[in-house]
Amino acid sequence: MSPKVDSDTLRVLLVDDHDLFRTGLRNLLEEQGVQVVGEAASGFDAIRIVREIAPDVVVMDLNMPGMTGVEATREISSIAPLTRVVVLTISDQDEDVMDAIVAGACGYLVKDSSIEELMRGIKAAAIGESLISPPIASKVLQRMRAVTLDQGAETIRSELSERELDVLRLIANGKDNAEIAEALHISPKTVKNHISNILMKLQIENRIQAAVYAVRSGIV
Amino acid sequence: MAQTLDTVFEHVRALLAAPQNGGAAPARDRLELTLTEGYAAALALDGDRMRLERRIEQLTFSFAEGDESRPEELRRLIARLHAVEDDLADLRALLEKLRRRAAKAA
Repeated sequence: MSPKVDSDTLRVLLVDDHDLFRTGLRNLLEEQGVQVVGEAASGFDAIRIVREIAPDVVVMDLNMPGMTGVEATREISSIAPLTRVVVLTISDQDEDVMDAIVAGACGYLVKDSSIEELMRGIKAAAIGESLISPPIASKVLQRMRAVTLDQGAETIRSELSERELDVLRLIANGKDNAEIAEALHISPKTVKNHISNILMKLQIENRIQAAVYAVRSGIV
Repeated sequence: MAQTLDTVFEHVRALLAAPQNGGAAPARDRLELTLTEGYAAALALDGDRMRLERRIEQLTFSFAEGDESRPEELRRLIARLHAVEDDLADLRALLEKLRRRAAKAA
Protein backbone atom coordinates (compact mmCIF):
# COMPACT_ATOMS: atom_id res chain seq x y z
CA MET A 1 0.00 0.00 0.00
CA SER A 2 1.32 3.46 -0.87
CA PRO A 3 2.14 5.82 1.95
CA LYS A 4 -0.26 8.74 2.25
CA VAL A 5 0.97 12.18 1.28
CA ASP A 6 -0.25 15.25 3.05
CA SER A 7 -0.89 18.01 0.47
CA ASP A 8 0.03 20.67 3.03
CA THR A 9 3.60 19.46 3.20
CA LEU A 10 4.10 19.22 -0.56
CA ARG A 11 6.41 21.89 -1.97
CA VAL A 12 5.81 22.34 -5.67
CA LEU A 13 7.50 24.39 -8.40
CA LEU A 14 5.45 25.28 -11.48
CA VAL A 15 7.27 25.65 -14.80
CA ASP A 16 5.29 26.95 -17.77
CA ASP A 17 5.90 29.85 -20.12
CA HIS A 18 2.20 30.78 -20.16
CA ASP A 19 1.48 33.14 -17.26
CA LEU A 20 -2.26 32.58 -17.44
CA PHE A 21 -1.99 28.84 -17.16
CA ARG A 22 0.62 29.04 -14.39
CA THR A 23 -1.51 31.43 -12.35
CA GLY A 24 -4.63 29.33 -12.78
CA LEU A 25 -2.79 26.18 -11.78
CA ARG A 26 -1.20 27.88 -8.79
CA ASN A 27 -4.56 29.09 -7.48
CA LEU A 28 -6.11 25.69 -7.88
CA LEU A 29 -3.24 23.77 -6.28
CA GLU A 30 -3.10 26.18 -3.35
CA GLU A 31 -6.82 25.63 -2.83
CA GLN A 32 -5.96 21.94 -2.51
CA GLY A 33 -3.43 22.77 0.20
CA VAL A 34 -0.35 22.40 -1.97
CA GLN A 35 2.45 24.80 -1.17
CA VAL A 36 3.54 26.35 -4.47
CA VAL A 37 7.06 27.46 -3.57
CA GLY A 38 7.97 28.94 -6.92
CA GLU A 39 7.10 29.60 -10.54
CA ALA A 40 9.36 29.63 -13.57
CA ALA A 41 8.67 30.60 -17.17
CA SER A 42 11.68 28.77 -18.63
CA GLY A 43 13.82 25.69 -18.17
CA PHE A 44 16.78 27.82 -17.12
CA ASP A 45 14.81 29.54 -14.37
CA ALA A 46 13.45 26.19 -13.24
CA ILE A 47 16.95 24.77 -12.77
CA ARG A 48 18.07 27.86 -10.85
CA ILE A 49 15.08 27.64 -8.50
CA VAL A 50 15.53 23.88 -8.00
CA ARG A 51 19.14 24.53 -6.95
CA GLU A 52 17.97 27.19 -4.49
CA ILE A 53 14.97 25.58 -2.84
CA ALA A 54 14.90 21.90 -3.84
CA PRO A 55 11.11 21.47 -4.18
CA ASP A 56 9.52 18.04 -3.73
CA VAL A 57 7.86 18.13 -7.13
CA VAL A 58 8.34 20.16 -10.30
CA VAL A 59 5.33 20.44 -12.61
CA MET A 60 6.98 20.95 -15.98
CA ASP A 61 5.66 22.09 -19.36
CA LEU A 62 7.56 20.67 -22.33
CA ASN A 63 7.30 23.26 -25.05
CA MET A 64 9.09 26.38 -23.85
CA PRO A 65 11.36 28.85 -25.60
CA GLY A 66 15.07 28.36 -24.93
CA MET A 67 15.67 25.26 -22.90
CA THR A 68 12.91 22.70 -23.46
CA GLY A 69 11.10 20.91 -20.66
CA VAL A 70 12.86 17.66 -21.58
CA GLU A 71 16.29 19.29 -21.27
CA ALA A 72 15.35 20.92 -17.99
CA THR A 73 13.98 17.61 -16.69
CA ARG A 74 17.23 15.86 -17.55
CA GLU A 75 19.26 18.52 -15.74
CA ILE A 76 17.00 18.54 -12.68
CA SER A 77 17.15 14.73 -12.44
CA SER A 78 20.91 15.02 -12.45
CA ILE A 79 21.39 17.86 -9.94
CA ALA A 80 18.46 17.09 -7.61
CA PRO A 81 17.58 13.38 -7.75
CA LEU A 82 15.14 13.71 -4.86
CA THR A 83 13.10 16.32 -6.72
CA ARG A 84 10.48 14.58 -8.86
CA VAL A 85 9.38 15.96 -12.19
CA VAL A 86 5.82 15.62 -13.45
CA VAL A 87 5.35 16.72 -17.04
CA LEU A 88 2.14 18.65 -17.73
CA THR A 89 1.81 19.42 -21.40
CA ILE A 90 -0.57 19.62 -24.35
CA SER A 91 1.34 16.96 -26.27
CA ASP A 92 0.48 13.28 -26.24
CA GLN A 93 2.95 12.50 -29.03
CA ASP A 94 4.92 9.29 -28.52
CA GLU A 95 8.26 11.00 -29.00
CA ASP A 96 7.59 13.64 -26.37
CA VAL A 97 6.34 11.09 -23.84
CA MET A 98 9.31 8.78 -24.31
CA ASP A 99 11.84 11.65 -24.32
CA ALA A 100 10.40 13.01 -21.07
CA ILE A 101 10.41 9.63 -19.36
CA VAL A 102 13.94 8.85 -20.50
CA ALA A 103 15.01 12.32 -19.26
CA GLY A 104 13.77 11.37 -15.78
CA ALA A 105 10.14 12.50 -15.56
CA CYS A 106 8.19 10.28 -13.20
CA GLY A 107 4.77 11.41 -14.37
CA TYR A 108 3.24 12.55 -17.62
CA LEU A 109 -0.09 14.35 -17.65
CA VAL A 110 -1.89 16.26 -20.35
CA LYS A 111 -3.20 19.73 -19.67
CA ASP A 112 -6.83 18.74 -19.99
CA SER A 113 -6.49 16.58 -16.88
CA SER A 114 -8.92 17.34 -14.09
CA ILE A 115 -7.64 18.81 -10.85
CA GLU A 116 -8.18 15.42 -9.21
CA GLU A 117 -5.89 13.78 -11.78
CA LEU A 118 -3.29 16.50 -11.32
CA MET A 119 -3.34 16.03 -7.57
CA ARG A 120 -3.00 12.27 -7.95
CA GLY A 121 -0.04 12.78 -10.29
CA ILE A 122 1.71 15.23 -7.99
CA LYS A 123 1.14 13.09 -4.89
CA ALA A 124 2.31 9.96 -6.70
CA ALA A 125 5.46 11.76 -7.80
CA ALA A 126 6.15 12.99 -4.27
CA ILE A 127 6.39 9.41 -3.02
CA GLY A 128 8.43 8.23 -5.97
CA GLU A 129 5.57 6.60 -7.84
CA SER A 130 4.45 7.41 -11.37
CA LEU A 131 1.21 8.46 -12.94
CA ILE A 132 0.69 8.74 -16.65
CA SER A 133 -2.57 9.97 -18.19
CA PRO A 134 -4.50 6.81 -19.14
CA PRO A 135 -4.71 7.48 -22.91
CA ILE A 136 -0.98 8.18 -22.93
CA ALA A 137 -0.17 5.15 -20.79
CA SER A 138 -1.64 2.82 -23.41
CA LYS A 139 0.44 4.48 -26.12
CA VAL A 140 3.57 4.14 -23.99
CA LEU A 141 2.86 0.46 -23.45
CA GLN A 142 2.42 -0.09 -27.17
CA ARG A 143 5.67 1.70 -27.82
CA MET A 144 7.50 -0.28 -25.11
CA ARG A 145 6.09 -3.50 -26.55
CA ALA A 146 7.40 -2.53 -29.97
CA VAL A 147 10.83 -1.77 -28.50
CA THR A 148 10.82 -5.12 -26.67
CA LEU A 149 9.88 -6.91 -29.87
CA ASP A 150 12.66 -5.13 -31.74
CA GLN A 151 15.13 -6.09 -29.02
CA GLY A 152 13.90 -9.70 -29.09
CA ALA A 153 14.29 -9.87 -32.83
CA GLU A 154 17.72 -8.29 -32.52
CA THR A 155 18.76 -10.87 -29.92
CA ILE A 156 17.64 -13.74 -32.13
CA ARG A 157 19.36 -12.34 -35.19
CA SER A 158 22.61 -11.82 -33.33
CA GLU A 159 22.56 -15.28 -31.72
CA LEU A 160 21.43 -17.46 -34.62
CA SER A 161 23.00 -18.20 -37.98
CA GLU A 162 21.08 -17.48 -41.18
CA ARG A 163 20.31 -21.17 -41.58
CA GLU A 164 19.08 -21.45 -37.99
CA LEU A 165 16.85 -18.41 -38.58
CA ASP A 166 15.39 -20.17 -41.64
CA VAL A 167 14.69 -23.23 -39.52
CA LEU A 168 13.14 -21.13 -36.75
CA ARG A 169 10.79 -19.39 -39.21
CA LEU A 170 9.65 -22.73 -40.55
CA ILE A 171 9.10 -24.09 -37.02
CA ALA A 172 6.98 -21.04 -36.28
CA ASN A 173 4.99 -21.75 -39.43
CA GLY A 174 4.13 -25.18 -38.07
CA LYS A 175 6.42 -27.30 -40.24
CA ASP A 176 7.74 -30.60 -38.92
CA ASN A 177 11.36 -31.75 -39.35
CA ALA A 178 10.71 -33.58 -42.63
CA GLU A 179 8.97 -30.56 -44.13
CA ILE A 180 11.76 -28.26 -42.97
CA ALA A 181 14.35 -30.60 -44.47
CA GLU A 182 12.50 -30.62 -47.76
CA ALA A 183 12.04 -26.84 -47.81
CA LEU A 184 15.69 -26.17 -47.11
CA HIS A 185 17.09 -29.08 -49.12
CA ILE A 186 18.94 -30.51 -46.14
CA SER A 187 18.71 -33.84 -44.31
CA PRO A 188 16.31 -34.38 -41.35
CA LYS A 189 19.36 -35.04 -39.19
CA THR A 190 20.79 -31.63 -40.05
CA VAL A 191 17.42 -30.07 -39.20
CA LYS A 192 17.55 -31.80 -35.84
CA ASN A 193 21.03 -30.40 -35.20
CA HIS A 194 19.90 -26.90 -36.12
CA ILE A 195 16.94 -27.18 -33.76
CA SER A 196 19.19 -28.33 -30.90
CA ASN A 197 21.43 -25.34 -31.51
CA ILE A 198 18.45 -22.97 -31.60
CA LEU A 199 17.09 -24.30 -28.28
CA MET A 200 20.49 -24.07 -26.66
CA LYS A 201 21.27 -20.54 -27.92
CA LEU A 202 17.85 -19.15 -26.99
CA GLN A 203 17.84 -21.08 -23.69
CA ILE A 204 14.44 -22.59 -24.33
CA GLU A 205 13.23 -26.16 -23.98
CA ASN A 206 11.21 -27.17 -27.00
CA ARG A 207 10.12 -26.24 -30.50
CA ILE A 208 6.79 -24.85 -29.28
CA GLN A 209 8.62 -22.37 -27.12
CA ALA A 210 10.85 -21.61 -30.09
CA ALA A 211 7.80 -20.89 -32.24
CA VAL A 212 6.27 -18.63 -29.58
CA TYR A 213 9.59 -16.84 -29.10
CA ALA A 214 9.89 -16.28 -32.83
CA VAL A 215 6.36 -14.89 -33.16
CA ARG A 216 6.61 -12.66 -30.09
CA SER A 217 9.95 -11.32 -31.24
CA GLY A 218 8.58 -10.40 -34.63
CA ILE A 219 10.88 -12.77 -36.53
CA VAL A 220 7.87 -14.27 -38.28
CA MET B 1 -15.05 35.12 -16.00
CA ALA B 2 -18.11 34.68 -18.26
CA GLN B 3 -16.68 37.16 -20.77
CA THR B 4 -13.29 35.45 -20.62
CA LEU B 5 -14.85 32.05 -21.11
CA ASP B 6 -16.93 33.33 -24.04
CA THR B 7 -13.76 34.71 -25.58
CA VAL B 8 -11.96 31.39 -25.14
CA PHE B 9 -14.85 29.51 -26.78
CA GLU B 10 -14.81 32.06 -29.60
CA HIS B 11 -11.06 31.65 -30.18
CA VAL B 12 -11.23 27.86 -30.16
CA ARG B 13 -14.23 27.73 -32.51
CA ALA B 14 -12.59 30.21 -34.89
CA LEU B 15 -9.48 28.03 -35.16
CA LEU B 16 -11.55 24.89 -35.67
CA ALA B 17 -13.44 26.63 -38.47
CA ALA B 18 -10.22 27.77 -40.16
CA PRO B 19 -8.77 25.80 -43.08
CA GLN B 20 -6.53 22.90 -42.06
CA ASN B 21 -4.15 23.23 -44.99
CA GLY B 22 -2.68 25.93 -47.16
CA GLY B 23 -1.59 29.47 -46.46
CA ALA B 24 -4.72 30.38 -44.51
CA ALA B 25 -4.28 27.48 -42.06
CA PRO B 26 -3.36 28.69 -38.58
CA ALA B 27 0.22 27.98 -37.51
CA ARG B 28 0.89 25.34 -34.90
CA ASP B 29 2.15 27.97 -32.43
CA ARG B 30 -1.18 29.76 -32.63
CA LEU B 31 -3.08 26.53 -32.11
CA GLU B 32 -0.96 25.68 -29.08
CA LEU B 33 -1.36 29.15 -27.59
CA THR B 34 -5.15 28.93 -27.87
CA LEU B 35 -5.05 25.41 -26.47
CA THR B 36 -3.15 26.65 -23.44
CA GLU B 37 -5.65 29.50 -22.96
CA GLY B 38 -8.39 26.92 -23.20
CA TYR B 39 -6.77 24.62 -20.65
CA ALA B 40 -6.32 27.58 -18.29
CA ALA B 41 -10.05 28.32 -18.64
CA ALA B 42 -10.84 24.64 -18.06
CA LEU B 43 -8.75 24.69 -14.88
CA ALA B 44 -10.68 27.73 -13.66
CA LEU B 45 -13.98 26.00 -14.40
CA ASP B 46 -12.74 22.90 -12.64
CA GLY B 47 -11.95 25.06 -9.62
CA ASP B 48 -15.48 26.53 -9.75
CA ARG B 49 -16.89 23.02 -9.94
CA MET B 50 -14.97 21.89 -6.88
CA ARG B 51 -15.95 24.95 -4.85
CA LEU B 52 -19.61 24.52 -5.79
CA GLU B 53 -19.53 20.81 -4.91
CA ARG B 54 -17.96 21.62 -1.56
CA ARG B 55 -20.59 24.27 -0.76
CA ILE B 56 -23.43 21.98 -1.86
CA GLU B 57 -22.03 19.25 0.34
CA GLN B 58 -21.95 21.63 3.32
CA LEU B 59 -25.54 22.75 2.73
CA THR B 60 -26.73 19.17 2.23
CA PHE B 61 -25.04 18.22 5.46
CA SER B 62 -26.76 21.05 7.33
CA PHE B 63 -30.09 19.96 5.77
CA ALA B 64 -29.47 16.49 7.13
CA GLU B 65 -28.85 18.07 10.51
CA GLY B 66 -32.29 19.70 10.37
CA ASP B 67 -31.34 23.15 9.12
CA GLU B 68 -33.58 23.78 6.10
CA SER B 69 -33.23 27.52 6.09
CA ARG B 70 -31.50 27.89 2.75
CA PRO B 71 -33.24 25.73 0.12
CA GLU B 72 -33.10 28.54 -2.43
CA GLU B 73 -29.34 28.79 -2.13
CA LEU B 74 -29.02 25.04 -2.59
CA ARG B 75 -31.19 25.14 -5.72
CA ARG B 76 -29.16 28.04 -7.10
CA LEU B 77 -25.86 26.26 -6.40
CA ILE B 78 -27.02 23.05 -8.02
CA ALA B 79 -28.16 24.94 -11.13
CA ARG B 80 -24.83 26.75 -11.23
CA LEU B 81 -22.96 23.46 -10.84
CA HIS B 82 -24.82 21.95 -13.79
CA ALA B 83 -24.03 25.00 -15.91
CA VAL B 84 -20.33 24.80 -15.00
CA GLU B 85 -20.23 21.07 -15.73
CA ASP B 86 -21.86 21.68 -19.13
CA ASP B 87 -19.40 24.46 -19.97
CA LEU B 88 -16.50 22.27 -18.88
CA ALA B 89 -17.66 19.32 -20.97
CA ASP B 90 -18.22 21.55 -24.03
CA LEU B 91 -14.85 23.23 -23.62
CA ARG B 92 -12.97 19.96 -23.16
CA ALA B 93 -14.65 18.47 -26.24
CA LEU B 94 -13.64 21.47 -28.36
CA LEU B 95 -10.12 21.48 -26.92
CA GLU B 96 -9.71 17.81 -27.77
CA LYS B 97 -10.63 18.57 -31.40
CA LEU B 98 -8.20 21.46 -31.43
CA ARG B 99 -5.46 19.35 -29.85
CA ARG B 100 -5.83 16.77 -32.61
CA ARG B 101 -5.66 19.56 -35.17
CA ALA B 102 -2.49 20.93 -33.53
CA ALA B 103 -0.87 17.48 -33.54
CA LYS B 104 -1.41 17.24 -37.29
CA ALA B 105 -0.27 20.80 -38.01
CA ALA B 106 3.26 21.26 -39.30
